[in-house]
Amino acid sequence: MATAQDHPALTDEAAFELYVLPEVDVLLRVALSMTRNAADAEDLVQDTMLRAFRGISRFDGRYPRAWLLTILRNAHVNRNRRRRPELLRDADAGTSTSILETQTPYDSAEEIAVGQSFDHVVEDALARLPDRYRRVVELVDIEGLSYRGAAESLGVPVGTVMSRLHRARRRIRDQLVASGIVSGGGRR
Amino acid sequence: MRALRCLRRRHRAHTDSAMLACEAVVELVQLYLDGATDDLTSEQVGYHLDMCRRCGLQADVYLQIKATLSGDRPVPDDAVERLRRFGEQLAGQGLPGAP
Repeated sequence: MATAQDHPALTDEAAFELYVLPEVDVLLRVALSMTRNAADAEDLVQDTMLRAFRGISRFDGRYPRAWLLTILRNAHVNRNRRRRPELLRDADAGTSTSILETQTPYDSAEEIAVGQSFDHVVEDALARLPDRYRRVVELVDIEGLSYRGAAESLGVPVGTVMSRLHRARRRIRDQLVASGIVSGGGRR
Repeated sequence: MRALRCLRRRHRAHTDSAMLACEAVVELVQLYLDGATDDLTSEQVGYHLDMCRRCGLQADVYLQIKATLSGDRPVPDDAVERLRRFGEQLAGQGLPGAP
């Protein structure tokens, strides 16, 4: 994996091209699943890229995908907040964006050693799932169906899809924790 | 000063009765990341993930899992192309409006 240490003389622009541009497809796929709306997903990725560009000089080059996905999640929060500003009754009115800025997205990247080993453990954990769980993950996360689409495909209620899917992902996550690839600090 | 502001906000978040508890967020986080929560719930879960490092980290792991599983699933080519062009412009010309 290319890191900033491998490229000590990288300009911010070159680092952006090296670390961010190759991840655009992945960011868009994840954004589509978070928004279920193509235009919103594209806006979200664009917002993520802007934030990444602003922060690239502080990025150490390790685990760019983890770094970018955390930025994407924070950008998603901020977009929801802008849509419903009345929900946040922060005494420091007008500082909601700085809340995001105080939380560095790099912490997660340090704790999630994303790379080939992460992918292998996910694939292995998926293969080990009972059929009824694996099938739901395949339909929703791999093929990109909605909960409803997966429910129709399987002939089960949407609630069943949700509970199987969530349990399946928890098992995958448990496997990642057991493998030491991610921190077990988060609750299940 | 900035650190103090940060601490104050975090303290307020922990004492804010409107903030969802971690236990509730654990139940909702996958729905949130799948875009299946309503606007109000999305706002509350997102706020919690923003303020709570442990839940935020858990959400990031789920996002990573989704990113890995989505693999080679096709995405709209025109959208990818627009985003790449946008990124290349950023890399070439910097932030819009910046000197």
